[in-house]
Amino acid sequence: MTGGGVPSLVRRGDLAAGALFAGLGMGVCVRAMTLTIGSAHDPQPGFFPLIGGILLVALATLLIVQAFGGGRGAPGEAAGDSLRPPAVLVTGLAIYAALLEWAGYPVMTALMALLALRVLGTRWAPGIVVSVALAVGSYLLFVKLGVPLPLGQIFGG
Amino acid sequence: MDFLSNLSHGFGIALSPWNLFYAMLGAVLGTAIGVLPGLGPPATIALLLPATYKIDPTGAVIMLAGIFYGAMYGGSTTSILLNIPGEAASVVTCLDGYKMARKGRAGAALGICAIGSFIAGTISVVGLSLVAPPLAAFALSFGPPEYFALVILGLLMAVYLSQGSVLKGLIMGVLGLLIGMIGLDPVHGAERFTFGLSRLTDGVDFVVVTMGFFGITEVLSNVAAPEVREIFRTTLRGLLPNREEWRRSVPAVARGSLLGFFIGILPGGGAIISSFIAYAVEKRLSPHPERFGTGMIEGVASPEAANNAAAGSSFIPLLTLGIPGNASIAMIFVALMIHGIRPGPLLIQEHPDLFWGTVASMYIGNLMLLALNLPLVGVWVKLLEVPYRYLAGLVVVMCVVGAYSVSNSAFDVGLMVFFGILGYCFRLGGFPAAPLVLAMILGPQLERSLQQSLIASRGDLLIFVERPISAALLGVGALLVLLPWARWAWGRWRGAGGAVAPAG
Repeated sequence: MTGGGVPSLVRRGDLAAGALFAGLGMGVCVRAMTLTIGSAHDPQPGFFPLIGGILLVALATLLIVQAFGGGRGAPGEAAGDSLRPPAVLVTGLAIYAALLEWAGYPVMTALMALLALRVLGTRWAPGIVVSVALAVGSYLLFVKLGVPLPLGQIFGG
Repeated sequence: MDFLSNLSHGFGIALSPWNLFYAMLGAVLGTAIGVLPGLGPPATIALLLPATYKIDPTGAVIMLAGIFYGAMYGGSTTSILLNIPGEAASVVTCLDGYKMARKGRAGAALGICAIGSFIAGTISVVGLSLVAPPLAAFALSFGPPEYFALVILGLLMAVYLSQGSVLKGLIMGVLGLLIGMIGLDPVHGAERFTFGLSRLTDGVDFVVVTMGFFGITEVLSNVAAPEVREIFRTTLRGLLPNREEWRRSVPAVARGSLLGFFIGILPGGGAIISSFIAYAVEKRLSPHPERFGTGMIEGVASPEAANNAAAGSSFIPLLTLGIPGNASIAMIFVALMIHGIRPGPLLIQEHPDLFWGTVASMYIGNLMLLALNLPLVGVWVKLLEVPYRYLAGLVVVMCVVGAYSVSNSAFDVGLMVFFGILGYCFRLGGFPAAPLVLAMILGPQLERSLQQSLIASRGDLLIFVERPISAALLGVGALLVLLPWARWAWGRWRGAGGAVAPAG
């Protein structure tokens, strides 16, 4: 609660988030303007988004003011967490989504599961066995349940 | 009596072999995910939504409801034996439950949780079956302004009760409204925020968002901070509390049940918050508040009763007003919509089989859960020995399949990953996820009722305060938002030492 000094990590996070949300809110307002707004007695498609955009800008501004003005932010729970494992996992998931239709569900799922298991410290041998079993097993199960999962071009699906 | 004949009609439906099977499946799955940390009820219900497309709506709701209240039973087991909450509503149970286990009273703690949960669950279902029909009848008189006020209050409650900064909750709520606007607008059918992507014309699917927010996000944060899991090894000597423990537990269970029931009814209320409040109340009422945190059975019995009672009663706003109060109930709302049933005041009249069948199944489900969690508790403890990494792999696979199956496209998988990352960032920044999900679901209804009200009043905003019910609802909402700031300003004005910062 001391004025000045270096803002805490949490407060800096709030500042960044506030700026981001304010920008987003302004973007929403601009997009809403391209729709017809109408008026209070005849609201058109742009009316509600415009209110939302304005509210977001206002709230984000409050967040920024609070971050400057010594208001306490909610403590971030992950002060000492390592960001590497989630980053690896997220990259893997993005690749998964991108290649799913081409490479097919069984192949991509086995690779994804293996990545997840490795990140969490499983050894290679059990990792490979579990991920292949998971991929093939879930594929067969879900196809049987009527969820058409892609087999991919590798298997000529 | 009308009520009894309806209920017996419901039992006729709930006791059909298939519906019994669905109730059992829900209870087993619910207990399992309650026991396992890292997979909560909202994500599980979202994951299973695609699987319910083909079964009839009553069976679907019976099963999904079972998962929700079943998780309340399972969660306490992990809290007591591992000092890690199995799911969010059992966080406070760790405080005294784990200490009881260390003192060799693990059996008694587990026993009172299961029995207390059963009592509370049953009280809550009785309350649900008594309160819901008249409330729905009352809500039939609501017009657009009342609905607008009700949705606003529901969202503000969700923000207020999400245990973080009110301001951040509000931001999440508005963000949820904006995400809900993607696609065709509910009144005119104009395309909004689709950025020319034809995939977005139908909007962003709730299932995709929920799986990202509650499934992927959970995995990411568990991976970032691997928990040390050590099962407290103790012989579970007898699951029944001794006489002294009974004497102290019975009033605590009664208080927890009532408290949970009433908090569960509130829009935005739910199992999580009710368990915290129940714990605080027990501590305040106790002649030995200083002993809380050292293994007081009241601190276990009351919150566990409260979260079960709240789980049951949070079906009331859903089934009578069409307003889901928390993320799990929101998923059941979505399940009803998928089956072409609009939750609202007409639901009980138009779908009596669904309503009374589900209510009756909850009586049965609670009985099943008592059996699952008392004599069979050892089976669930075994489940905890499965390392988290295998569960994480399974959750990821389930989320991917679930997202893909929404519309058979990899685009939704990508979208889910995006929301997973977003959810993780929100969590790091202390932004609560529940208000976003609720706002997203309630957004179209909010917009529709706002438009209808304004058209009816010719643009006069006073319509919301001239009608007594909507004025009262909005008044309560305004109070909730302003309260933290008022308290903060009061604290500053008094200049008390260690000024109280606003919760925002």
